[in-house]
Amino acid sequence: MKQYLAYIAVGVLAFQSCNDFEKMNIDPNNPAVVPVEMLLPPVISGGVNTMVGSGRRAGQYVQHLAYPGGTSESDGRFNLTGANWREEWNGAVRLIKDVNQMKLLAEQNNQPEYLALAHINKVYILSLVTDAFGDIPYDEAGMGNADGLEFPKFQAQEEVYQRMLEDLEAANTLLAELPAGVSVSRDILYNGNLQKWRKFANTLMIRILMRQSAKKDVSQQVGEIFNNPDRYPVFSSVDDGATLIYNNSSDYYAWFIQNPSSDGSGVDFSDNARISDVMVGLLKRGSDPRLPVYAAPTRNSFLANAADADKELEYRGQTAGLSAAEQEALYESTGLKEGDFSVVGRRIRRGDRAFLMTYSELLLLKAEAIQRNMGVIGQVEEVYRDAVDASFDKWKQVGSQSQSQNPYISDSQREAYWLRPANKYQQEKGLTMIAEQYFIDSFLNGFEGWASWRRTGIPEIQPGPSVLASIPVRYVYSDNEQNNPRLIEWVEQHMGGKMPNHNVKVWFQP
Amino acid sequence: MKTNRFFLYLSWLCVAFLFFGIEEVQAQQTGQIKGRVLDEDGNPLSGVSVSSNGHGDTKSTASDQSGVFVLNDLQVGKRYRITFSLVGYKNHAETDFLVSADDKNSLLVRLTEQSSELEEVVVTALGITRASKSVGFSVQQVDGDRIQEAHETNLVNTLSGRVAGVQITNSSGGIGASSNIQIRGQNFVSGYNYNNSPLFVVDGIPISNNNEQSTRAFTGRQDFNNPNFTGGEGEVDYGNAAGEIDPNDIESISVLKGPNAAALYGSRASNGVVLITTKSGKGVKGVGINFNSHVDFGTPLKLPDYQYAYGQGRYGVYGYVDGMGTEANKFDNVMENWGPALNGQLIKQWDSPIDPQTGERIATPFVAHRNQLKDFLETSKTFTNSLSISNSNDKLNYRFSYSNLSQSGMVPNTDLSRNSLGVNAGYQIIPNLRLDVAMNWVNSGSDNRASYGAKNDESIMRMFLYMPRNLDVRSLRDYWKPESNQTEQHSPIFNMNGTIWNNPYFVAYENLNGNNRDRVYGNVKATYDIRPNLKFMLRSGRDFYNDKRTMRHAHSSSQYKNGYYQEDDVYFIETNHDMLLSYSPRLNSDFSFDASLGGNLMSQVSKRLGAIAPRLAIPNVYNLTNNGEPLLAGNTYQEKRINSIYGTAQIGFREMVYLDLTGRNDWSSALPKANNSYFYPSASLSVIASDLLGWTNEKFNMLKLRGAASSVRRDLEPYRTLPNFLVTQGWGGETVAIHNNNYPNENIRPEKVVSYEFGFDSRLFNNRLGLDLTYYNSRTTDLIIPVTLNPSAGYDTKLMNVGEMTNHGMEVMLSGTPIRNDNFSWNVFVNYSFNRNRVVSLAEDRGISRIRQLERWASLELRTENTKGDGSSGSLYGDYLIYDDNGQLTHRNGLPQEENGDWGYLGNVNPKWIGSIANDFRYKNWNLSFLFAGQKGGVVHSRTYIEGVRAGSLPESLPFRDENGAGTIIGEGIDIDTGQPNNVGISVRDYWREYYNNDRIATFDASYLKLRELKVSYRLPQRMLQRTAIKGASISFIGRNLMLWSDVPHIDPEVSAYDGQFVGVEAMSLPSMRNFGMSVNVAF
Repeated sequence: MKQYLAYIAVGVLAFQSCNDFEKMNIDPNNPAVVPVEMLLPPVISGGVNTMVGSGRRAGQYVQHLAYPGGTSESDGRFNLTGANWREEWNGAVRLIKDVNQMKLLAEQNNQPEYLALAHINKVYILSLVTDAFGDIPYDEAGMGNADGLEFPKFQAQEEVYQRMLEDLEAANTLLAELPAGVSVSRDILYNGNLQKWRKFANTLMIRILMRQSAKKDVSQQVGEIFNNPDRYPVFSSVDDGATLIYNNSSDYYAWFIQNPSSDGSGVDFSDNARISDVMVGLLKRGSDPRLPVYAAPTRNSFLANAADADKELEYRGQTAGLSAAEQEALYESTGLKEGDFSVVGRRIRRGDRAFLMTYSELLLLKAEAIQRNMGVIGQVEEVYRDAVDASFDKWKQVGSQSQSQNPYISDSQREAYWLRPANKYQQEKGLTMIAEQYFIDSFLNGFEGWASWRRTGIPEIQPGPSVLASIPVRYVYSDNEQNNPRLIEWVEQHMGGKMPNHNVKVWFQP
Repeated sequence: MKTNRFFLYLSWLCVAFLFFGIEEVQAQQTGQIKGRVLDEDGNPLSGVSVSSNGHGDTKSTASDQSGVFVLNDLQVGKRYRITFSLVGYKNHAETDFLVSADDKNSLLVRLTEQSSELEEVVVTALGITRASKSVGFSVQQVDGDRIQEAHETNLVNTLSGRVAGVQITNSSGGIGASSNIQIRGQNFVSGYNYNNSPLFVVDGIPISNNNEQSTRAFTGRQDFNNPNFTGGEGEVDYGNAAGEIDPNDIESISVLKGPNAAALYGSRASNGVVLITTKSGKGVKGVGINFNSHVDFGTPLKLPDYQYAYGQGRYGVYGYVDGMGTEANKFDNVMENWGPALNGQLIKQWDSPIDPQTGERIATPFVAHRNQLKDFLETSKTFTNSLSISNSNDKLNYRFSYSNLSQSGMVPNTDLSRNSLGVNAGYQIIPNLRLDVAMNWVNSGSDNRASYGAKNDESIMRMFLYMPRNLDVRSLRDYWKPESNQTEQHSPIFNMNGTIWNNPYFVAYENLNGNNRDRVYGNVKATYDIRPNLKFMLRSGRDFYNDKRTMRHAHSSSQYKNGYYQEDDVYFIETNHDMLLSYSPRLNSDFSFDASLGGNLMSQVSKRLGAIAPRLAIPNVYNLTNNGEPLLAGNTYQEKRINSIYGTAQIGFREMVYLDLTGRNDWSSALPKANNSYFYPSASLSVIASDLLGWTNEKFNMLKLRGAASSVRRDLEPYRTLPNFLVTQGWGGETVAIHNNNYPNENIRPEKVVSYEFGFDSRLFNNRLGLDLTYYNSRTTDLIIPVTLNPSAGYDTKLMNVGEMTNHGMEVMLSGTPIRNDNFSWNVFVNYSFNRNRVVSLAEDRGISRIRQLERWASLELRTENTKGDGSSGSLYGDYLIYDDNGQLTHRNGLPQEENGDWGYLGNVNPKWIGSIANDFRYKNWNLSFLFAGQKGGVVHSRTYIEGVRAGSLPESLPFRDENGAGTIIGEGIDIDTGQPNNVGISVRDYWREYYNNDRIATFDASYLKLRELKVSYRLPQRMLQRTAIKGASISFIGRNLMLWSDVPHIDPEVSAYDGQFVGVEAMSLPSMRNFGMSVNVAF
């Protein structure tokens, strides 16, 4: 019997012999550490996707775009709840965990250039979020992996902006101190050009400072940046602008480019996203060459023109926020049909570009700062003209394509524009002109156009006649976030216990 | 290679034991016992197993067709205990039988039929066959015959209504559809197989019941715990793995319900065990050939009740221009039936002829085409043929079986075929050593499986929900647009850059989801009798499958305008090596003792390899190199091992009291080192109170009391202890990384379930009434939960040990024989059970008060009692219409208002109770039986209802539509801002679309009753077959799911969305099937 027991013991030991379990539980598919640059593309493109998505949402509130009556109940007529902005919130704030990992890896590997990029990206992404949502977590965002930080604390918008400026300052310093020749890889925004990133950081500072300017005196800081280009280099040309060039496989319009419509227009006339009458009105008023870039001709005029080249192309904007019945009434009273309105133009669809922040924007902010005597050195007329030119220059000719194939803005068009006296800067209505140009330049960057409108109230826009609420001035926290105990606590302490709805202003709005 | 080393040990051990064995065999003068076994009526009984015990040896044989048996090699002059046993008969023993030297050792034995079910044997843990009366926990057995006769293509469905406390939910009537099985409620939250499936064990070897899905986003497993359950949604149901076991091979199924089973099978069995014993040919004398042929026809059990009063369009307006919505106010591109009344008025329609002169369409009558879905669907046909050959003698038993199943589904061009080949054999190599082999090979495949989903444009039920009511499905048959060179489907709503309504024939014949799966499972077992009372068993078993899947989407499909092709390779293997030492000494006449000590090495590997061509360069060429943009490809590898040692001991007292003790220790590779070893004990007690107290008499035959307690621990899937990065193809096909959205935990501990159960089994009135009742209670602590975090935390989930959950419930089995005589008998069986779950706590102090388990519109959440809901698992939450305190519906600008920021409680998907009643009537050779099964309570959320009403396709959308299809409603209720009665009129369409745009309105009481099975069979009388080679023949007619009673509109409430994983939510799966079948069974 003892013998048997001995053999059994051997058998049992055999079971135990393969006990290097720990190695077995290391995931062979997913590494514990990656080269830090691999985190960069999803962070950049994720932030940009949030911005692009705002084109159809905030872009409707500020009336860059308008949908035919009845088709966009939620955004056009403001039938909105926290579920409407689920992706806008969720998609953006989730990116911060990867930004945090970037910082961690950059610090571990002693790669300050990536640390700087992590700062800039965090600020860029969360600036979009705070502009739209107001108070957000900043310091503890995306740190659910840390014990006790499963539910990050919320911070007031004013404090968030302050923290952002500190992070951008840090990025500016880190980048300034880099030894020559250092670059970054997998940089889909600036292709490794760290000087441009530095300019982007400082330009973002201007955006954030000016955003607060109705609530807070920021002139000293604004002046400091504009007047010290060595310490604070900012965008100095259109090429410096933060522009993400998509490729077709991930383009917003990829499907469209793969299946061009047979009429040769390069657009889908039955698309519901139409350009608004506000935008068309502003562009027409200045005989602005950006009109054919932004908008496609109406279907009816396009077909007429194709049949007979003498027939003029027409551009007509859609009134925002109509109900189905109101749209119906509009068709009847004007005799217009569905084919008499403009959809988004073919250059935009084929352009494959997302403008995170443009040189034109910066110059317009500079012009405003000068106009408002914030201690910035410069001639406002000149800066204004440069700003508008910079906006035109975003739409240079691509290759040898003609203007009808792929609309662009030629030098002669630009000259013609400036020949019109009304287009020149006029001191007495300077701030309005600047804000209007800001509205035009930010076309399809719904966030920026909407934020500027909330700050300046320009252009004046009217909601539809029977919309379900007034024009939204805030995105409502995603329903996935609303049960966050720290948010509930924050709302309890700072917002009177009521989860803010889309008609409650955020802090920066006067 | 660890496994190799293990085998080395094994072979070494085997060699060692062989030596002992040889030592044991000694030359002796031997004698033989010859005898005959008869039943009470004097008919010979074949297949009775006869064995002799005593003097260090056990000899076994079985009786032949004339009841004759011979036991050889017995020692002359010694006394033996000879035992006789046969299923269905009482065991019989001849004690102290003296073997004399001459050959006059003869025995005539009469076995009496088993009068009480307690004398029955059940298969329990480790495949040990035990007298039912000695088992101290709840086991319920289903006969192989019943399983075979049910002829379900999914084995799991067969158990529906047959076992108390087992809830089966069939996902759909599609071919090869999955079924979800759950025993005694939900004990756990984590696990990629969210469904809390019990462990399936075939002949002692665990086999997979995984539900391996392919997703369209990537080839990885579907992560149901991920709250962002969006991109990777499955679209095709590939079935649950245990569903494909051939029912014809099954001898019996034992369901071990409580976690007591886990004490021996390991933590995977903590949701219960379904023990399957396959036929092995044992007890068959002479070559037995069995042939079974079955044919089956299936039709939908319940279809949505569409409205046929109004056709396509909006606000009562419609006219076909180009199907693209180019012309305003024609609504030729809306997938809605809010159009004009179907009164035969002339309207230009998609299939209206074109006037060759003008090129304009000639308006045709606008009429309803009823039965659109019925015209499209076909009768499902299933043919099953199976053949088995078996034989046995005192040394050898074998059974070969082959089954072929070929099925065509309700959806045209869907099919399933399955070939199963099984070999089960045992051989007594030397008197002490026996070798058993069971091997099964299953090849199953489909050229096309229908796809499902409420967001999937190719889901058949969804297409028909949106189908214009004025459309004749026959006009869709030629599904390519003429002269489009097969690049454009023919559909009334078609815009290559906009809305496309898929032509269902196009989907059925071009967008194919095929698969081919090979599966091999089985085991090799060696049993060695070291001493008469000491046995050693070694067993090695495997379950392996490899599934090759292809998914095609043709050019111009709604979701894949430029085509799509995916290949997916799913590989799974589980290996189990077991050893078991069993010791059963004879103590004295009062006490019995059995003990076993065993060890198990389990290893599981699963692999995925897949690639997607998201766009095809050349239309309709399905090849990964025909990719129009960079391929998405990927692979995953997962491995996990558990090593275990376990022991069990049973002490019996006078065959009246039995105490079982078990213990098991596991080492799991999936847990961090500090926590990877865990022990779990169990104890159970069975007392035959009626014998013990001397109560037994004719009226009161038996009372058995039983009780059991166990503590089980459970690990988790591999790779959940260390954080990592997901490396994927991101921007422009470049490789990028993101930190894994599901954050692991380096200190995770195994979760723990402590459970106990009490019950009794009683037989009354000459065994004509039996009542078996079990109460159980379990408490899970240290729940391993991927805790849902808010987006601001960055991670979707974080793995934690939080919370506590309890389940308790009752299972009742009642059996009765109201009538029993020679020619006629009537038996009734009733199963009833309920389960109550309670989430006692989560981690409120850390801010965790709810866990989102699944979200698809409605959200399935775990919440404690102090939050909204009933504080139990299975609670559904969703948005709802806002009523004021006086019950008035609130409006704003005339539209009903809904709350969707903070979700409301909709109900619990788990039933209040489930029950079934079966009646068996036998008259001479005729047999009639029927089974009703149903559930009371529970809710079901129907997406068909919401989408159907909103699309104007269901009759609920009809009120207030005027004769033209337009109309206005001034909603009853108040204005939410002013509190005054609502006085704003809204068009019927817009009003109803808003009114029905919330989850609560489509959540219904899921109570139902089904006529699950009706069967008539006839067995040919023996005398008719006497002069033929046929030993037995029978013919039976069977109907399954024949009738349904339920208050849920449009759908069968017994559905679950997403291949059975999301019970309680209906998401446009194919309707369940009603089957009619006939089968012939012949034995030679």
